Amino acid sequence: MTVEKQSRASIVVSTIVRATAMCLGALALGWGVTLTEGLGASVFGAIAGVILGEVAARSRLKTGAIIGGAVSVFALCWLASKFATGFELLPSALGPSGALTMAVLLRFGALIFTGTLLLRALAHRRQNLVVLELAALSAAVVTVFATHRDGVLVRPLWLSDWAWSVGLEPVQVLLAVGVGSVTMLALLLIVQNRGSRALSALVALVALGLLAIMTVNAVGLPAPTAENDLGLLTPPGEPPRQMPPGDGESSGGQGDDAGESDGGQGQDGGSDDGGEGDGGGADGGTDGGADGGGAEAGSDAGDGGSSSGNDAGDGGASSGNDAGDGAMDPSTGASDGGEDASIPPPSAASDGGGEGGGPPPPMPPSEDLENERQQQQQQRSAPMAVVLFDDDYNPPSQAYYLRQVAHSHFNGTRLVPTTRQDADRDIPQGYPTEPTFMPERPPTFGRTVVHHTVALITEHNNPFGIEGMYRFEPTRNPNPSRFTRAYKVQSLAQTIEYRRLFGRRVGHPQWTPELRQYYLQGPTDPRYRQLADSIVNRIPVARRNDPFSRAVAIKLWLDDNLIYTTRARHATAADPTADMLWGNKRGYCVHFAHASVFLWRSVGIPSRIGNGYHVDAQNRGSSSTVIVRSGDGHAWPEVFVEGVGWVVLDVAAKRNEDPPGQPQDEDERDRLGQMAREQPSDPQEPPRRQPQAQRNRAQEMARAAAKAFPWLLLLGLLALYGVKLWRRLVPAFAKGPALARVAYRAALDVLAEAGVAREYGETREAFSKRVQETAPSLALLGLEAERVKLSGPSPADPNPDEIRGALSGVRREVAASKKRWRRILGLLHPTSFLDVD
Amino acid sequence: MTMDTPGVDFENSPHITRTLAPPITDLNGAWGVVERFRNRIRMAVRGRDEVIEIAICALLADGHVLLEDYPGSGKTTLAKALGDCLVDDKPDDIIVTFRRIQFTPDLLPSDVTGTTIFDPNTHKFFFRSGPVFAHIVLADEINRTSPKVQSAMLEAMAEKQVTVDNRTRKLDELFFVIATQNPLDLAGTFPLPSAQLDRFLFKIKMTHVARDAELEILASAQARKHNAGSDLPRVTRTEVCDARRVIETQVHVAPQVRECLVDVAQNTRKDPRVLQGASTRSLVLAMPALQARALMNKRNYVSGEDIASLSNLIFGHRLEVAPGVDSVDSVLRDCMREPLERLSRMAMQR
Repeated sequence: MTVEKQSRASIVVSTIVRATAMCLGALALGWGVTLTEGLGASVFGAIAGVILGEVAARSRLKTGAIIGGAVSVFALCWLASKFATGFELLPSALGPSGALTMAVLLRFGALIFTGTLLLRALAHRRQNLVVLELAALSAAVVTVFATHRDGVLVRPLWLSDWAWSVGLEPVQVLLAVGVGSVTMLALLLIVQNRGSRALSALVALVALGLLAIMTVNAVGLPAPTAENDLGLLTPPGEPPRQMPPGDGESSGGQGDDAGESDGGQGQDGGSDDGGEGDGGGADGGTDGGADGGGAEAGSDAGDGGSSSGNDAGDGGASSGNDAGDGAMDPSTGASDGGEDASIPPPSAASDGGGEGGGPPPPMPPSEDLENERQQQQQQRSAPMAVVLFDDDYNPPSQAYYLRQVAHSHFNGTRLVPTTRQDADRDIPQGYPTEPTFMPERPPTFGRTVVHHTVALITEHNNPFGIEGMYRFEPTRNPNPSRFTRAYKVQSLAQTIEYRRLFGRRVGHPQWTPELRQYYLQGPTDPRYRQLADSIVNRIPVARRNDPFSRAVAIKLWLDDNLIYTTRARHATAADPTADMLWGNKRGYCVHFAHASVFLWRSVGIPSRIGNGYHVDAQNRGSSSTVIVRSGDGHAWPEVFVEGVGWVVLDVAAKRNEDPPGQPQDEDERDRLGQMAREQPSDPQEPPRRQPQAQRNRAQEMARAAAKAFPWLLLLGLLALYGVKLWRRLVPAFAKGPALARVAYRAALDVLAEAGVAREYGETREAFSKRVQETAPSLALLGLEAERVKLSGPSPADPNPDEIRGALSGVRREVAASKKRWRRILGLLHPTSFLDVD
Repeated sequence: MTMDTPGVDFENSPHITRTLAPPITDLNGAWGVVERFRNRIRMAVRGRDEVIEIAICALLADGHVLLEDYPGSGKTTLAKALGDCLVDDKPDDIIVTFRRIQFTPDLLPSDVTGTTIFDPNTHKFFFRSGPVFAHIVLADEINRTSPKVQSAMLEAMAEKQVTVDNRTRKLDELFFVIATQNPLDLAGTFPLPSAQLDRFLFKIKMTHVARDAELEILASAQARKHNAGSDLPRVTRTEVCDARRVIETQVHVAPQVRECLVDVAQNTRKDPRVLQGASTRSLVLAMPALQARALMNKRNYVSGEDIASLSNLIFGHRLEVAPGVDSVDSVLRDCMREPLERLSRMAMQR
């Protein structure tokens, strides 16, 4: 063994290097699953394992004895850890936490110790098994990415925080750590074995590692999934979605196109496509595209999808509640006493019945057990866009309504986007490439101009902005690796308080009667009218003819009587809205919006449904950034108030059957905000080391490299096969002394393909003798090749016929003695010739 | 006048040789010498082909051999067969073809070298040569005798000369010693010091004869008793000396091979398990041995295989390993691996 020949110093150095690499591997494994004590135990276990493994392998112990010993040590420690927590003795002596710590120490220390010891000892005894050691380390590194997949950065926080603070991508930092440790061991492997076999094994290993890493979508934010039926993500050019107001779990429409990622309960996109065959499919398509990076993580995505579906509804629910409450406070007062003066100022925080309304609870404790849950949450709240406010704006409803589309056309069952040229002219269509004004601009009364920038993380079919959008302007994408596009929006956003809307007329005076009728169209079911009338009849007579008071009254009635739940299903009914209103009264935003609009329309209030995102104003906090998450998708009813335009009058059910939503992550908001704003993370800090443009270029290059990688791989493969072919063919036309060498080389290639190669330090003759059985003709070739080199300054030329005869002899003999599949495998092996030297 | 005897063709008798056997001037001739040795000795000694090869190699490389084996394993037979191969074509001198010395603790140096004796008739001392004055000397159980006798023997081996009564007498150019020692039964022996071991080119550890060979030995015992290949051609002393010269000059030693040999020696000196590495003298001695082995494998150049297969024999008894290291062979194998690999790869380079 060459190992025995090493000097003491080199043994010590290599052991240190190995121990370091194994420590990193152990840390990588441990980060996700254990606490500081466990990490410490892992590190010590790794060091002790490497050292003792080396010692054991050098001793005269039999390999079996080493394995048995290590396993029994492991079993003992494991039992001891069970004992530590399973019986009263230790907990009573050390206290419960002490016993737990003890158990963790024993468990992780023993696990890592046994693993590294076995790997090291085996690798030392059987050189080929070094690859196992290396593979274990690579796997450990890959697990880091598995826990950090989709760019979800959890642990180690000190590392990712540091990386963020200096403007690096934490995943890249982790990658560097992993690659460093693997490279370290690999170099050690090469240096110690000097064998080309190790090299070819490495090639395979590198390929495997890359493959493993490619299965994990490491860089970037989680890919958002469409989890509502609002059609926000439908690619442009799709026909308007025919969406029943019910969620419509109609039939098995969950559809092929929707795919796994769509299969969740809370997702209605899939069901739509069962009904109408278009929208849902589009949804699925977007999903697929967004998920593309995730590749194999199909099941994962599916999980994420379904859970996020629930959550999405959640978010919508709670915030809807809030907003509604905030907005409706005044009208409560109005309906009660009709005295405007007594109306308290709207405040969502004061009675935000919704769970999301309170101040965001503190970040969950960073316990390891929380990891999984956290990750799920992270996926559910996948960011869709970032909104940067240039102007300070506090909506009277205490929530930002980011409108993307409006549904005003009644198709017999529900409301869909209009096809009329003269209706909903305040809705943007597509993404103009130059600054564009909307055809219709909201009145300035009761509104203020809000400049804001939207940076989309996911592609949307239409731009969206704060309601009242009147100008759209594309802008430079601040960070193409994060955002798909960015644009500036100017909106005339509502500032007038709701109570000041009482007494105003509804509808635009310039509307044609036909258009007015268009906004009043609803189901023919008389019950709507009856219900609306009965509600309206309850308000004081003085206000009974005020359309806005009527609208508010209906809204308040809905608040009181409807129950919010994302699990509601009404799609099978002919009129889903009626099914809900006079059925179990359970539903979510889409149902509520339809119910209010139908009721309003039945009493002559022009209204429509706005679709888009709804973000609680509290999420903005003190910053000027709002993150729009996939859970924020929302549909809300709007009333056209004369002189003010379309006013959001959202239903907020008092009763909510869904679990509370998740608080916003302020760090992430600030981070994304900075990214969208192209600003250093802190004005006090020096600017990032790389200018943005340069970073972008680097990222583009990286992306191009990633794209080129498969081609390069293919090219490399072709080159290797080319080398193989060349070495196979060249004996046919080589001349003189070189013939002996190339023919011998070709013969060795044939043998190497069959898995036979000269060992390190084996002489040519000894090798020929060893393969005597397989290839007797090799002896002559080897002798000739060596003779040409060693028999003096002017060796006699080898006899070409003899040489070529022997070469074809070797080919024949190998073919006869080795199985066909073995030879085909060898033929396909691109680096088999590296075993020849 | 011719004498015609019917039925007998005296003119064309095969017994009339008109030319002398051609002198050994090239590798063909040397190969002939090797073959003649081989054939004759193989007739006499069965199942020991490897040892025969090594013995012939040592003879042609002008080195001596130390056989370490159990009694009755054919050491003496081998040595006798080797002596039997030789024809002394210089019968005038005092040197004979083959002598055997049985070393015992009470042996004196003069018993080996010879001594001066007073002749009462001439009133003069004359030298009576000892058994060392032979082409091939079998030194049986050399470790049983006192160091004094050993050193006398070893002077003869190293210098090919004997000093008796302060007068140095030359031994023959072809002076070949086959010494034996018994690896067991070490009580009352005088182990050879390493300096003296260094005089031996090879130390051969013989192993037990394989079963088939042993059966064959028994089967052919009768036949061998009477004429053990005595009808096969022998080799003259001059031919052996010529063959040595031819081998030394005509078998090519590539510089890379020399490098490899030196690297092996260097490695043995660097290895922590070795207290004393291979000496330079051993390398000098090794060169002809490598060349002889190359010829015996029908090559006119020395290859790595020669080094690989002879290293144990050449260096095995010269290395002094640290206490606790069980096997010199494994140490040597480690020391050889890297230089041999380099030499092997060289064949694949342009």
